[in-house]
Amino acid sequence: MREGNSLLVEHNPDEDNRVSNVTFLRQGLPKIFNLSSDAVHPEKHAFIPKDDEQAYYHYDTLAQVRKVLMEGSQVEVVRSLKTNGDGACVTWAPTLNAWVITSENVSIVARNDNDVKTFYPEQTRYFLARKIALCWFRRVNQIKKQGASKLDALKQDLTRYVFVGDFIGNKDLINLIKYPRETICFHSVVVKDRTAETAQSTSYCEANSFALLKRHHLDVVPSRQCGIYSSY
Amino acid sequence: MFQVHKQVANSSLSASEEGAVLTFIKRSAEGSTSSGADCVISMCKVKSVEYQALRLLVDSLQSAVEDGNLERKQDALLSQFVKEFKVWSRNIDEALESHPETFFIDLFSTAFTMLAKKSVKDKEMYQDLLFSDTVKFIALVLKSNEEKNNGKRYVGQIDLESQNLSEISAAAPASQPADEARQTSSKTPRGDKAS
Repeated sequence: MREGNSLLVEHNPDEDNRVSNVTFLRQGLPKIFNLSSDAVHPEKHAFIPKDDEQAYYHYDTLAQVRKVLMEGSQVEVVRSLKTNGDGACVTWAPTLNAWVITSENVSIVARNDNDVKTFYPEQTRYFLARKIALCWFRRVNQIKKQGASKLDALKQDLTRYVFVGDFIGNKDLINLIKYPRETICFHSVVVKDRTAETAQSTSYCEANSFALLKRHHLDVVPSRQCGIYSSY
Repeated sequence: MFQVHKQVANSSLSASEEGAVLTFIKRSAEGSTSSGADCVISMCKVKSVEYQALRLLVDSLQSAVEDGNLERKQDALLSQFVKEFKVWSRNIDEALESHPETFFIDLFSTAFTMLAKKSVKDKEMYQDLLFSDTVKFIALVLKSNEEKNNGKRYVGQIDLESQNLSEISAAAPASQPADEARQTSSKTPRGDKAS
């Protein structure tokens, strides 16, 4: 799991602080690789790359696509913009009545920007997550102004899902592209929890991620369908 | 897919930023033997040559500055840059208005000169910018490269500002990435070739 998981571990003070419950607060996206042109080249795609790492990337990216097509399903390919920022995950924890904001595998649990400023000092391991959390709460406050129902709808979706995006436009962070404003630009929706059935499988984003994200007043990367294919 | 790859790899930084993410979604067809709901079965990234070249340039020079041996490593650094950039530069298709490989090698050489061969005061300023404001540092490298090579060699432009944020919006419908719009509607070349 490239972006890791966040677990809520509850202890029972009446039983020597024994762990009483463990639940998922957040699940991250898996690692995804760069696709080389050879992997999709009309004449070269059938050859296995000599480089072991490249061979693995080809396999990891395209093996499931081949399998699904051989089984008779179709494969839709969606292309979206790859922004230049720092990974950011946001979700809502109803049991804590708080937001969970994560970057670089460091999570912040906070109800509002005051919580962020009070409990997470700037020059600590929370440096990046703290910046992202403050950016998130600016957006939450904008949504709140549009009506409680909009915020409730967002919390409802984020009770089940994690929204994943890139934190862009911050002047203190080293990046190669200049953005006119600071924001979290979302690109994926991941199911928060794992079950016995999904424990062994790779959990990519939801098939309808963009539709889910666009229901809320959030920045979302541009995307478009490349096509639906029946053969490799 | 090959055409999509080629288009993304040759797109400009300001339009395509790092490049694209491709998401592969299983859609059940009539007569399919597979079961289950539609789901994402794979994802991957396709990076643009412009992004990869600048990323490689910045990472390699930052690492040499941190090691404190920049001045002594010019040949080794340039060779390493060219070797590593070959992986990406073979995707360059000049028919898609991409910059040639030599342009990126010139940029690396110009950046090295600014960091290692200027006066002590200038070197310090550029080395500081390399870490504190990378966008500004690259903009200065592009300007210096143009001054040095204009009329002698190919000199290109790279716009380091995103064109996409205005269309990145919850209200915006699913839109065509800006690089496609550029490649289908604009034929303005990104650089000037010396005669």
